[in-house]
Amino acid sequence: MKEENIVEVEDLFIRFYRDEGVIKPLNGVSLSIPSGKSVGVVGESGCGKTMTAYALLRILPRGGEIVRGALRFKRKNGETIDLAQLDEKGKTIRQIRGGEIAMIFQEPMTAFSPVHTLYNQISEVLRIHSDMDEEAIRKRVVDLLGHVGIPDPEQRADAYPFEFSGGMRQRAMIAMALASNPRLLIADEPTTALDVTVQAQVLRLIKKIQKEFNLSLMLITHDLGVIAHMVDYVYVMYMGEVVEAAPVGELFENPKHPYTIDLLHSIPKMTGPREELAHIEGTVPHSAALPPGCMFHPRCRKRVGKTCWTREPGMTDLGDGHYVRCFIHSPAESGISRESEDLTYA
Amino acid sequence: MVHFILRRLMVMIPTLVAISMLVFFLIQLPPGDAITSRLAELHAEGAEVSEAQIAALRARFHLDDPMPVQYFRWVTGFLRGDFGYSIVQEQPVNVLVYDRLGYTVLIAISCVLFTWVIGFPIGFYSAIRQYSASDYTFTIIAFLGMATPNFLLALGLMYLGHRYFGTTIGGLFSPEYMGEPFSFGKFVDLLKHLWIPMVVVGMAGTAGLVRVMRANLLDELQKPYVVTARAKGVGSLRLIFKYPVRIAINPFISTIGWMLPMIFSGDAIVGVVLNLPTIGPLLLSSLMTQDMFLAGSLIMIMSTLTVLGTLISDLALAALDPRIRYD
Repeated sequence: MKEENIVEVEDLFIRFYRDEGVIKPLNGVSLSIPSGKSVGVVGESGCGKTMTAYALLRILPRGGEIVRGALRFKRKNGETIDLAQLDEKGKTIRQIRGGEIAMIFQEPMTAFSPVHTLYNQISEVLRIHSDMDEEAIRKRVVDLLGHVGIPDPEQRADAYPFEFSGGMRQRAMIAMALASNPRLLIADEPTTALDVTVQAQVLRLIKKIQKEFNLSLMLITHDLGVIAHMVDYVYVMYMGEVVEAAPVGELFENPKHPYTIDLLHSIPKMTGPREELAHIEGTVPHSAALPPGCMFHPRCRKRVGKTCWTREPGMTDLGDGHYVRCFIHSPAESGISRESEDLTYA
Repeated sequence: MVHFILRRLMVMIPTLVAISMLVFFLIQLPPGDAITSRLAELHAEGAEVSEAQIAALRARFHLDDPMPVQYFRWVTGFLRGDFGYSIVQEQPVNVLVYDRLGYTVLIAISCVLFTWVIGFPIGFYSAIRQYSASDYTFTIIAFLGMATPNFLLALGLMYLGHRYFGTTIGGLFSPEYMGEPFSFGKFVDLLKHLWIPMVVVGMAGTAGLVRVMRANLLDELQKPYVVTARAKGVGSLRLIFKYPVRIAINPFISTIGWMLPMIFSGDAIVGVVLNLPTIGPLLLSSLMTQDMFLAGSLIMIMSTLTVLGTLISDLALAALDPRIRYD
């Protein structure tokens, strides 16, 4: 594991064995998050962004299994462990969940229990991960709520989630994530469910606390506009694979993968002449039946020929931290034919 | 909250007045009345009843007064705690109810406990082990339990109880304890008999509870707040009890008050089959003999308990779910 990284995901495969077939949400994801930096993960719904995050916390939905790969994580005590090897119900992963890796979710309305007060739910983190006494916990929760910008935190702490606006709830969610001083914050579409006017405030808050607490941030979103202002480095995912990875400026100025290019084109522009909004042809195939070869070839406008559906492109290093998974940028011989068929096509 | 309760209690008055009118009206609807059935009974016994005797009976119960007067006399009795007089059984309704109330409540409450003690844990287990072999087994048993008519189950269990445990069929006591003062032996004898109505009446309810608890909990288990709690590092069993179970029981709490009238009357058919000294069979026979004051008063008591039970449910739900406010 590289010294500067806090997380390294390597060649991660996840499978759900269901009656209706095998679902394949992750098909060899590799990504790393440097300590104290922010990394974005972008892609359409169902591309495996959230599954990658759930895998890190080992909270995959029922039936989900890590069938291959490593999830290396540097703990607070400096020790590096592979989260993929831990017992999902064991003590170690429970200490890490909420204690060292915290997560904030898309729907602040439903992500809190409707029948417990904010104080009850936030203090729970400290009860699990610290040995503070009741008085210290109370003070810490009120301080945190004040810190994330909830007015009158002493009184509001005892209110229920439904008594807050969406933006305020998301602030409370951030306070909850910060409670036990985690090292890594995973934000899964943190502003998608919020009003546009509130989105910017919440994003600024995340950025501010990231600096203050020296957090590493993994920002999951489908919104490229959000990514541009928030992160240093971006991973673009498609059907459970990273298809392009680059520093944020490079990705916007010089996208290489046809999928990334299409994604960037589909952002509505506020200036210039009115034209029809670009979109990507076709739909994301079901992850029970992955297309052979390059996963994107059925929708790709730049297919180069047979290679695209017979061989799988590997990652090509374009220099300066820019990587792309596409035959346009690498000779066809570099393609991989997967040796273990059961992991890819069934 | 106090304001809400007072307002609800006030609204109960016109509701109950309306119910009482409807009940009285419905009881009067069929042709004939209690005297006719009483006469038929006396004739069957071979007794000669003179016109004068009939007239005396009619006069005694004011049956020839105008309808509104009869209604008014009946209703104002409630305010004095007088529920009228059973013409057929020749006893005050109060005495008839009082004699049966204890056992009715005893059986009903043991049924509720049986239902909960068996139903909740199985429903819970079925949900967290969805599609496991034990889940399927419980599902099959639960559907069988729901589909079996309880009088049939009663007959089956009575047979088994008699054949293998030597208990006398029906009733709550063996003949040797009938009319005896209460003793430890009599108590044991009661327990020997009580399990049959408990299982019979409780079976369908238990099976239903298992299914509803399983479905409610499965719904809650996939809510985002469960993922949030997992991501905080909450241990799995503690998590399930603190969050999804807590919310999955709300629908039960919201119907808890409806058990009041059920506890009062007990199950009529099972009561008849098992020959239980409960109020259910009393109500059934009063309806068949057109014993108007008995039937009317029993229905009136059950209606009052239903209205009261609904209020209790509403209050219980408000206490449990902070999103509900009655201001």
